[in-house]
Amino acid sequence: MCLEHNQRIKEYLTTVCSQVKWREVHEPIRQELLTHISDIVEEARQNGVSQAEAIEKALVQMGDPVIVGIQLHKTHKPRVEWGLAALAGSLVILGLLTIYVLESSGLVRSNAPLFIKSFLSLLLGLMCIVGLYFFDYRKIKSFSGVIYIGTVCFMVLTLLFGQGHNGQFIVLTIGFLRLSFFGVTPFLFAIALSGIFSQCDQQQPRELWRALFLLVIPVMLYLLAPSVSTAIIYLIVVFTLLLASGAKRTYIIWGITGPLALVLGTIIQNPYRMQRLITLFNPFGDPLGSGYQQVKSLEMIRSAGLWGQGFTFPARTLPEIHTEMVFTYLVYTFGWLAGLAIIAAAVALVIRMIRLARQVKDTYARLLVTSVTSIFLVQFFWNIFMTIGLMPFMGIGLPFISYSGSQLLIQMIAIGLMLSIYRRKDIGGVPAGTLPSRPK
Amino acid sequence: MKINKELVKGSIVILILNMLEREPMYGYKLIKEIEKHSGGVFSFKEGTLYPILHSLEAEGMVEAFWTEETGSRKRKYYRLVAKGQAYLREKQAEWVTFRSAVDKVLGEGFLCV
Repeated sequence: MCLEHNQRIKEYLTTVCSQVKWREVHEPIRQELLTHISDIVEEARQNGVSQAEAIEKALVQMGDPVIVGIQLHKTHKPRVEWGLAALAGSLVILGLLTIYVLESSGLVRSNAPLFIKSFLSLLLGLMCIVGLYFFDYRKIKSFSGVIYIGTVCFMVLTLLFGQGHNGQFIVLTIGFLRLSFFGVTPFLFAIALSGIFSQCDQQQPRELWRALFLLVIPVMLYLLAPSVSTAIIYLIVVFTLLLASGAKRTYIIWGITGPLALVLGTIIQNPYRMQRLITLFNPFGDPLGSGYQQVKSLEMIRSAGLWGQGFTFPARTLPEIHTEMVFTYLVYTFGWLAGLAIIAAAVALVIRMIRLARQVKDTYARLLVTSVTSIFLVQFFWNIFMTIGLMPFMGIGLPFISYSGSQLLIQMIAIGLMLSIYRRKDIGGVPAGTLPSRPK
Repeated sequence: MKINKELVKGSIVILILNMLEREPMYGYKLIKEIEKHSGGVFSFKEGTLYPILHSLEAEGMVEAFWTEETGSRKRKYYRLVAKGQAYLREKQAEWVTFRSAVDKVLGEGFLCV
């Protein structure tokens, strides 16, 4: 007889689970306790006890279901990575305030209401964070292919129907929504490829060729845009994923050099980009031309002093102070110490992400956190170094702070995913059949 | 002899880790082993074992994995990992100190009587 359908046992398990608030752990707990009860019953039956009696004995031996439930609830209390949330939150608030000041003081002029748009993105992002926190991220894994194909299709659509010259900023208008889609694609590919990589067997050559094929398609689209900065971030995501998933060295080399050659080829055959590349090594060689922004930016940062110049930023000296050059504006206004504080917050945030990546046991979650972290790391690092002329000037904003509704939204979604992963990292495994078990 | 509940509670973690050091086990087996090795002194409500196991898992002392055996009974096994091993060593040393101290005091007491 199947004990699973025994009324007394069912009642017992339901009472235990009713004490545990977090529903996702109910099924594993039920399964585990049911096996235990079955074991006791089986043993009693072998000693000649009747079924009904054996079940009663088993339930007594298990103990008060309410007490067991309460104790289980205590161990499975939902956990929030408050550090991560607080660091990201303070950067977001700083960004929002900056946009407000820039807009109301007239330093940045735009046809669109920047602050309101930022604020709406923030609200939408908050909803996503809360939603994702309660959502089991593992359910996304089976949609990895769909996310990949969807992203590629949307990129093609943006290329066909979008407006704008510079790839990163091609804008696709759908109704009242204006999307600069290319900038968020590295995040989407990170999510999709984490799922695909965690499922594919690295030892099988055919699987690897398939993976390499999947890696190259986005690069082609980035170059068609062209959006070199996004392509570079994407390549770093790919490199991180290959490294983190333990691919063989030859495959890592193949997976990187191929796309990299494509990117470099595009840079070299385009005189404008070539100029950028030369400026990278010496922005001061052309201070009035392609090096202007960085030379000016460095000048502003130098003149900031420890405590800043206050709200005296000269109008029309530097473009893009609400996007790529927002760090320059903040340092100029609030001083070097404020700049250091922002850097410290960014470093602390990335460290917390890396720590999370090391804590999680689930391969999919580990790949996802690692690859998303690499995006944040590159964006912070590149943007800040760009403002002091140590990295080439490209369309890479300061995460959470630079004005960009779509970036802010996807970055907050990434934080939501990490909170979801953190919350679930401790329940190792669900019953076999749901996920592959790993007997050792 | 009936042993005080608090005493059992305090030492159950070290017993569990000690058992898991020999081989990965599931809850029922773990209880059987503890009973067998302790001569039945350590018997408790078996359901309360799981909150302890789950928190050990959450703290990274043990690792869990599911297997499906013939007869389709799904079992959750627990395996000791490095962090749990280090913790066990620490607790064992603590226990030895504690036990010898108690022995000493009790021994003196007996002498006085």
